[in-house]
Amino acid sequence: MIHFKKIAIGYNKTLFTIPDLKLNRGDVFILAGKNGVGKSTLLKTICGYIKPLSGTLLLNNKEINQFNSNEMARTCSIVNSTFNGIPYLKAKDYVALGRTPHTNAWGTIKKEDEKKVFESLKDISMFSHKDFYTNELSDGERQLLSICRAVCQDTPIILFDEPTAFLDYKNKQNIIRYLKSLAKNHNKTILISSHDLDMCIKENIPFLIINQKEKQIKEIHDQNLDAVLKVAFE
Amino acid sequence: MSKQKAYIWISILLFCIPIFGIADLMIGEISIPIKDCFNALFNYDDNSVNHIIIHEFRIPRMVMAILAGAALAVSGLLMQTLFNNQLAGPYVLGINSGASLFIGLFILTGFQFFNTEHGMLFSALLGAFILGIIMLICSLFVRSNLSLLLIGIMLSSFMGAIINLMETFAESEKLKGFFFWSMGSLQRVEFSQLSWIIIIILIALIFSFTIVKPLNTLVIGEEQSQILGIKIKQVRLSCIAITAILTGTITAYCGPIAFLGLAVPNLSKIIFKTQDHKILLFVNIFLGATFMLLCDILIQMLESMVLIPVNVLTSLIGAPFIIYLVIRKKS
Repeated sequence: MIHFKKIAIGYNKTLFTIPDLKLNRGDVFILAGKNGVGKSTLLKTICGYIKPLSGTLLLNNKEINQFNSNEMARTCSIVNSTFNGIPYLKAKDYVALGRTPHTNAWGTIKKEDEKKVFESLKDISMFSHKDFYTNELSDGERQLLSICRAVCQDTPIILFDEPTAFLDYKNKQNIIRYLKSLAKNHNKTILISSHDLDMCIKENIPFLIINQKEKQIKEIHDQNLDAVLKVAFE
Repeated sequence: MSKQKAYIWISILLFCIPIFGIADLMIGEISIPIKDCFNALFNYDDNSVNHIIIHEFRIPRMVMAILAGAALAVSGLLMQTLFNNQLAGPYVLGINSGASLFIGLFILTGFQFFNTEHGMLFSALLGAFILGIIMLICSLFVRSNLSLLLIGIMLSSFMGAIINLMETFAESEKLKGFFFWSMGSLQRVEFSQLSWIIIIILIALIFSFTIVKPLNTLVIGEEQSQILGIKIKQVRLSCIAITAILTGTITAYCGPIAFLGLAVPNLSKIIFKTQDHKILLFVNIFLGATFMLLCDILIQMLESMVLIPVNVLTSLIGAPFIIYLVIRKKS
């Protein structure tokens, strides 16, 4: 659960404010808005990289500045839009890195860790690629692996920074549906920043839209592209 | 490579060390039979010339070859992982030259930071550590790894220039001493000093195994490691400290040894095709030691014809290897 209380978001200057907003477990939201409006900044604030300029931010009822780095890694994971691939790093080993916050000081991958890794690879049909080296995969396939890694991190909150940017239409659809089911079945809070507005509307996912003019974040539940565009770009 | 297969290869490498080690004891200007090598170790007789040669010269030399190989290879691996660049290494990043500069100050100008028996060692350690910290600070401001590499190369030549400047003012006797030091040699350590060097290097090597987990995540970058809950500043400091101790100690006693720290980690990744540092650390220790023993055997075999300093030989082998790496990466 993410709870914003009178929060100002930004690096040095306030980009926008959130008076009061609660994202519960099982919720999926699409974060939309113009380029440069502060979507990534908001995601980085939630996972603790950037401190909010003012106000309080609670993750699972605990204030964000009381998390140590490992607790944070067990609470919130984030998927970036690119992963460039590393020579000699196998797909399954990359995904297994997601288990890092749960493993011992040596980072030993146990049987149950491996089971989680394989399950998540099967869920997005990448299991057949598990022994490929990550620098030999396509951008889209690597993106799928990054999503797998975040799923394996097994956190109640998962943030996605344009996860579908490199994917083809079918894969975009699959991923969006997969994330929806993930939130529902595993009771996770999922926030996805995306520019694929049409698809998200088709999949019936509610929006959080950052409006640049009013410096406010707005919740939109009716699935109407015009309404979304109006708030996002006017 | 599968884990089982990797462990078999590591065992083979481990097995290579005593074999090449004993070969290193036997080969030289005077060939010494294997029986005398063992007797010199376990049944020392100070009337036998062979025993004295083994004890006073060849054992320190062999042990230093093993230590230098292992230490420099691990330093290189840590630097490559920390800076996320396969061309990084203690020599390229100027950590060696930091030690060289302070050794230069020590030998050439007689300016002593530590007026003790181990003054030279402490000077080298201090120099290596200062340079490590400078590179670390630079890495905070410079995002691009290529720029960072450039800074390292520039720092190296800058310190080379200061050393040259000191050389022009130094007395000829001191100059000669520094020149011999800078050629690199495995023959500078006495038997009685070995135990200290072994302890220092062993502690640093063991300590490197405590950061296996963060090293494995650093492969995918610092930001991603933070997402996975790694305390990045601690890890950076540990990496630099271990590298400074390993490189500083070896540089103090053997002189600057080029390219080994760059070549061996790359070789280990090419052969073992893994990014698991639990395996890579073992491989680099054993492969580095084997490589250095082979170099030393080669030097000793050629000794009757031509005297090749160790730094020259590693550069002769290392430089073409790096060119090969760059070309291979492009294609």
